[in-house]
Amino acid sequence: MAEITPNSVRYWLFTTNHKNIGILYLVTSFYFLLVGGALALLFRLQLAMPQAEILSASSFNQAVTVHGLVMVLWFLSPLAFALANYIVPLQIGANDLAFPRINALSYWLYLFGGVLAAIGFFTPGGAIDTGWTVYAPLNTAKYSPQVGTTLGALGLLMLIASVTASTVNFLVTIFKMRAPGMRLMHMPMYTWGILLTVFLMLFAFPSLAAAGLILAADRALGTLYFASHEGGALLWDNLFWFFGHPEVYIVLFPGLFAIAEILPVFARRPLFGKRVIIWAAVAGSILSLMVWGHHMFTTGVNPLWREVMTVLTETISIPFGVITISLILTLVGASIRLRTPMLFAIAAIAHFIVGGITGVFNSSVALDYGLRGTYWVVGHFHYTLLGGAATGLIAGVYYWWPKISGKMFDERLGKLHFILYVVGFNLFAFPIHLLLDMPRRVYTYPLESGWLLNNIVATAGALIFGLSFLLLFFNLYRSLRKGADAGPNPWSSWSLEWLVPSPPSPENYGGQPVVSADGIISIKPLLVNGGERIHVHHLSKAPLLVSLGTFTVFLGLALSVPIALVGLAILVASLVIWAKESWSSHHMEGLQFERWPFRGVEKTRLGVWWLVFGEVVLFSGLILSYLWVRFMSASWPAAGTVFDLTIGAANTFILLTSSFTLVAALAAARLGKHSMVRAGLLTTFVLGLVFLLNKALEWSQLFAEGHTFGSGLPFSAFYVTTGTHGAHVLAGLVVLVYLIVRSFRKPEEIHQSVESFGIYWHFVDIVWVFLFPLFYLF
Amino acid sequence: MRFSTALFVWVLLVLATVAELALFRIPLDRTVFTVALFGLAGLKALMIAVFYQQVIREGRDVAAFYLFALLVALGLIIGTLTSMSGMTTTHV
Repeated sequence: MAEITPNSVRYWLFTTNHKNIGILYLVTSFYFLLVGGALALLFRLQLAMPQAEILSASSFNQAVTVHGLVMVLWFLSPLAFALANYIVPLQIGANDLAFPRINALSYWLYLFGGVLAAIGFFTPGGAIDTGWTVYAPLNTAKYSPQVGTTLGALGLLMLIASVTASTVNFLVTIFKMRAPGMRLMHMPMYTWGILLTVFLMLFAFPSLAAAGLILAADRALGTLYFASHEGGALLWDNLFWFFGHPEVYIVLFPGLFAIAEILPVFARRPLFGKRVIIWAAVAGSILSLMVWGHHMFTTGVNPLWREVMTVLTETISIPFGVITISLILTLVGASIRLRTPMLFAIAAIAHFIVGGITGVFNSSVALDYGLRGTYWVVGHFHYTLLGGAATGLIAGVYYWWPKISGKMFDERLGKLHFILYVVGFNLFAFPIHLLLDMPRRVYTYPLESGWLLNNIVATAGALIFGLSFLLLFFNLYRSLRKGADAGPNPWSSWSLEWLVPSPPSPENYGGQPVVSADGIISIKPLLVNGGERIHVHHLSKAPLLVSLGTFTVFLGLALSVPIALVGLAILVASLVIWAKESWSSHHMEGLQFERWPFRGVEKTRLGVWWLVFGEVVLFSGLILSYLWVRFMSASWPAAGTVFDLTIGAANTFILLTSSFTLVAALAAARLGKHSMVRAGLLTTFVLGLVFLLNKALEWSQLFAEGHTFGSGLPFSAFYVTTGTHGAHVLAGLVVLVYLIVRSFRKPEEIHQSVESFGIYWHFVDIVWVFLFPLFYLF
Repeated sequence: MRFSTALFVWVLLVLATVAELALFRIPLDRTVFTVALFGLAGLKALMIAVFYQQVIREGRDVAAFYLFALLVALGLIIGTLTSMSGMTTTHV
């Protein structure tokens, strides 16, 4: 790529450096905070007085929905990723994330996903208005006919793609790129927090992806899952909350672990019970995947199931109690410096305790019947997510800002921000707990309801809270202009990132950080690549273009097919650019070291494994949806009567054979038999193509017989499930084209790529092994 | 993996598929049929994972996380389907 001036627009569009991506995330997440905050103030003003007419019922629904989605998905987690992008590689002694271009892709998919959802405001009928939980059947075309809801669902899918790419990237980075000598327990707490966060994301988001795919199909193609009277609404509930409950911890962990990083520094003593905190968080993570049912106590699900969920939900409070007590014990008897990051960290703990205690009430089935759907729940989750998680992250922003900017912020302004923030937040969030009898999702209320006082106080608090952020932005901006130089370590902190200048150089370290057995960190000359510094490219246009192509395809799916075709062209061209770039830049990706766990697993292969682990849950969500509608339906066609068994069986043999030919290609690659490799890859490609053509033939036959997407649940299930699988086969064929071309150009380097690709392709085969009996024989 | 092993596994996969098709033609009790059908599917998936994806060669850590992903997937499916037992729906 031609020389690009640092800090030019093109530089920021094409950058792949983890610190730059972190800054992009930071700015964008704050932008979404402003959007979500402005919407919140709008509907708080609407609720301040009875019978107010600031917003119509429809506008209120749109504002509440977009506020919730934006704050949870486009502000909180991206703010955590902003800090993670900047800080985690520095904290573990890496020169970048494992896959820098995929990191840039994650950012652009996140941004374009948000833009796609926001376009809904400018379409007839407005933006998505279903509530942030997007419950069925409100999310169906019958109750939410506007295109804005479809755009919201597609924007959500882009965000999920972004999150998936990020999770794989961070997992590989943390497991494969830690400095020599840095064991897992040596890692700083924020890195631990991100490790647990992305681990949960990997297993929780695929369930939302399954729900989002089905919703997109329902809205764009006319399938019938969520419109079904036969359990459609409860299917959404299960898929959504299987993601939604772990999402609480996904949002919480980065803030909580940022606090665990800040407290010891400003208390001048080690964190109390570091190992206990980590193991408690691991236990909490696993438990969080088992408690989704407590969000459905009032839906009429099995009574025994509700009791199990109650017990599990109450159990999950134990590890978080342990974490909170450990954090507090770090402060007992300490010599505390009450600087701005510390103030926010302490406030976050206090808020989190309130949120945690109010949450325990909701785990009881009996109490939940009374509290569900009231402002009590709103108060509870705002104390947890905003008062706890967001406040912890704001503490993190203040703490790491000198490292990011190289400048100190104004301490007095920081403290003034803190006072307004805490007063405003508590004025807003505490009174709404008292609105025990006010339903959450009403846009107005009568005077005689008795809800006026608490609503006025809450609105005043929200205004103070919202305005306090202007002080934060002003303080950060002012520090860039007038702030004193921060130096490498203004807080006298202990972790690795404070060893380098603020801001750090593009390569982070002049040498290789090494951690000795007694925990002493030193920076040694490079131990790899013959002692030569590896030049890391930091610019690529492919991530931006791939995201733009995806955005255009999705926009076209919602608005008009020609736009989708333009997007497809952009996508194909950008993938070619991506592939060409990787041919010319062997050392584009960062260094890796061998250590536990995953010793001996090369990092690309490890990345594909993580992707596959997430895909296991995605397809389980789709298979569950099929089984759900099948068991809920009053009738279902007998096997062999609708779907062509001959085509299904033929496709099974074809896909099994393609797995074999790929293994043969890999065996040939290991032996250096290049022509055999090409033959194996070509045969695999042809078999995959025949599989897809067979599928197309099958679909066209069904359509010709009048069995379209909306012909009933059996067909909806068939098209969505096998269509998603077919899309995976298609993606595999795209990679196969790349591998075939590469096998001609650089045959000696093909072995690792074929091995990594094989993990994916065989997984696609495994999925079909289950889909075949499910749809054709069962 | 040796070519002959890969070929042998492929033959077994094909035979298992033929067995699935044969099961479909044989009149069997529904429970027996279901267990046999998905038992065969599980066996095929296991063979592909072990021999083609080479999970064992990757080491215990990869196998452990693969197992964890499967447990999460099964938890989602079984947990959700269990929640519906005893429920009634309205057919319109």
